[in-house]
Amino acid sequence: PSWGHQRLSWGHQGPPLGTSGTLSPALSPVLRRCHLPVSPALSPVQAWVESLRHPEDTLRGLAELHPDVFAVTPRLDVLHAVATWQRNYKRISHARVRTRAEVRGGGRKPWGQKGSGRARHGSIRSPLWRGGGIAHGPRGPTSYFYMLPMRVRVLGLKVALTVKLMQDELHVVDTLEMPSSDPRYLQDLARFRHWGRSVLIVDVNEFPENISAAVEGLKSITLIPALGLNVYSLLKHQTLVLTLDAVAFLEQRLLWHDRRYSPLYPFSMPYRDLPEPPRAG
Amino acid sequence: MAAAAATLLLRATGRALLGRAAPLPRAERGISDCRGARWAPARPGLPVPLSSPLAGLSRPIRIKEPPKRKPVDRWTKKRALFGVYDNVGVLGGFQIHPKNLIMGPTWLRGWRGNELQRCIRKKQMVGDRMFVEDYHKLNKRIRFLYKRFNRTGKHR
Repeated sequence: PSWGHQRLSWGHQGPPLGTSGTLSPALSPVLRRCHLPVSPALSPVQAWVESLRHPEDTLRGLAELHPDVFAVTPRLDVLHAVATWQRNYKRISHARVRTRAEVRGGGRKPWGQKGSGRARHGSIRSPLWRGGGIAHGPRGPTSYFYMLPMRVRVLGLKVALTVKLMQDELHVVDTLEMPSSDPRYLQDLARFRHWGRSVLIVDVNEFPENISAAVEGLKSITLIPALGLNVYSLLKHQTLVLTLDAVAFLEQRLLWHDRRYSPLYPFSMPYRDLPEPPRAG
Repeated sequence: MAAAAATLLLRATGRALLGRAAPLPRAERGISDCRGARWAPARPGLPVPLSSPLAGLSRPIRIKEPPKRKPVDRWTKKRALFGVYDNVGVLGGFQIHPKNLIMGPTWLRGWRGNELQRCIRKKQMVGDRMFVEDYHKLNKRIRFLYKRFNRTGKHR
């Protein structure tokens, strides 16, 4: 690994919890509580908070995750429905063949009805003929658009996040700050921590330059804003890395749907009495 | 030496007495269509193992393999970022709907219909921009599909 030959400093955060205290005094651990109310029957699930500053920095603190987002029933049928929807709703197939009316020619009867000894035909472009039109072929640009109910799409996201957490493929990171913008550093870090073949990194809004430069050069590590989170990408990438801000954002947006009324008009227009649907920042 | 010769003689007489016939002729190789390259005594040193159906043929049969699959890169930019922003409505305050992200013909964005509905919608939205011949063909198609759907078959 490349870091063995460099002398990396810990920076202002101090050394991770797991190492000995011979270095500068360790800061207090990063603890994150659930800001939104949790039902008294459930308790939050927990995940380690890691950091990208050093490959061994995996025990920087503990984050509590809301159980109604990260510990729902694992509905695989909902996952399948949402992933299929994502594949198909934007599909527009441009396959088109000409019918007998559209093929050039074929207006005249090729030979008389009776007497020639050949089969009777009305045009040389009927579907029976070579070079004729196709009777029941694909016709024109076809769209396969449909929408799943909003609650189903939200539940799909919750189930996907739950599955990632329960299969040890979810990692929470405090920030995305990296010591270097070398793609190999990120690749070695992912390999050292056994993250898997593909990593999806999610943050809210702005990314530090180092990580965007590092991800430019890598194929199977993807960096997306929290707005872009979706079930298909979660299933395509093996590991998910969320920042604490992204966790708060997702919890707030996904839990709002449990307590809202049905829309009488689209939510894009203002409501007076509902808890305000969270606006984009 | 003499003992070996004596054993052989003894075995030959034994076989003759028991009436064992000569070694059975080898069964015909069951190759359905080898296009004339029938079985012949195998020459030693051939690359094909003797157990395969190709062994011992006088002329090598041309074997066609199924075409190899071309390698597909699963991590291009398009494939890695497929599906991103599909939940921009839910996660983003409902200002954008995912149907606004669909790239395609104007009359098909965020809408679905059967062929007659698509033709009518295309005529309504884009009809005055179309070429004359295409507009004419579109009208013919609408007329044909209307009669087909509403006057023939079980559902009318």
